[in-house]
Amino acid sequence: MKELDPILHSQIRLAIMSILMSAAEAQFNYLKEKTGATAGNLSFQLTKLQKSNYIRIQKSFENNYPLTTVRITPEGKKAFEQYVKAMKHYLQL
Amino acid sequence: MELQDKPLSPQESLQLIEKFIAGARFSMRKFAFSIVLFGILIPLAALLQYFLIVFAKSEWSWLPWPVLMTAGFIISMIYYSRLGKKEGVDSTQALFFRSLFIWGGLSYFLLAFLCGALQVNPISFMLALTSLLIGVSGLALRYPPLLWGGVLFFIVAIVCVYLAPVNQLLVMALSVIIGYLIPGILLTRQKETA
Repeated sequence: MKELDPILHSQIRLAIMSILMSAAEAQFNYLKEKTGATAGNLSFQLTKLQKSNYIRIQKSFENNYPLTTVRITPEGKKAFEQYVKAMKHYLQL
Repeated sequence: MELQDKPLSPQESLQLIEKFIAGARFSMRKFAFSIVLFGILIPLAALLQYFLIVFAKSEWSWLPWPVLMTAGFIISMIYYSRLGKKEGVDSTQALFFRSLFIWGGLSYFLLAFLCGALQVNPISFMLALTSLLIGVSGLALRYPPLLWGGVLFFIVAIVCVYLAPVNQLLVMALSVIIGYLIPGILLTRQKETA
């Protein structure tokens, strides 16, 4: 079996990347709601993905409230596609 | 249920990907808002212009177009901008359709300017552009009523060349109701499965 990307091979990070593959951008609260993660855990996972250059995080303010917007990067898309390919290869699909 | 930071089996991975990719699907019903809005505004502008030409004999008969189209453009921008913020996600499909219709909307203004400068009746050109926007949307969404709307505008754009300019307005109003407003209303009743 080909070596799987350890960054993507976790439930929560894979869920985040799956959402971002079909979204131009997603807000922190949307990701929190969809994954059911706590704010702290989600923040930690996002930082991990950001450090791998798979996502870009933009922080801004809206009506005096902080707004965190997340986007997938071209590297992230490529890594995700390779991960899916490896999975399908493993399952012989 | 909170997801865990744990490794997955290949089957679990693919199931999870399938589940979450499906989460940010495009809402056809929300897309229908601008179709219905312009499906009302375009016939209204055409009928107002017809009234101003035939009954009021006004020199300002063209005025309903910039006023109503600009209003529609601004209302759509505000609606979709608020919707995106409220939902917290912007799907790639929504981005595609927004870009298509913003570019299309600006192209109507360009066509109006070009036809005005060249002193050419713009209606057939406007209908041809509408045919493109609606036909592409129908194909991309695999939604036959919009696709047939695109075909209708294609035919009406040709038919209008052979009609008197004032009658073109009536044909345009009718074709927009059939090929734009009705598919838009049907779209609002679609399930969120696109």
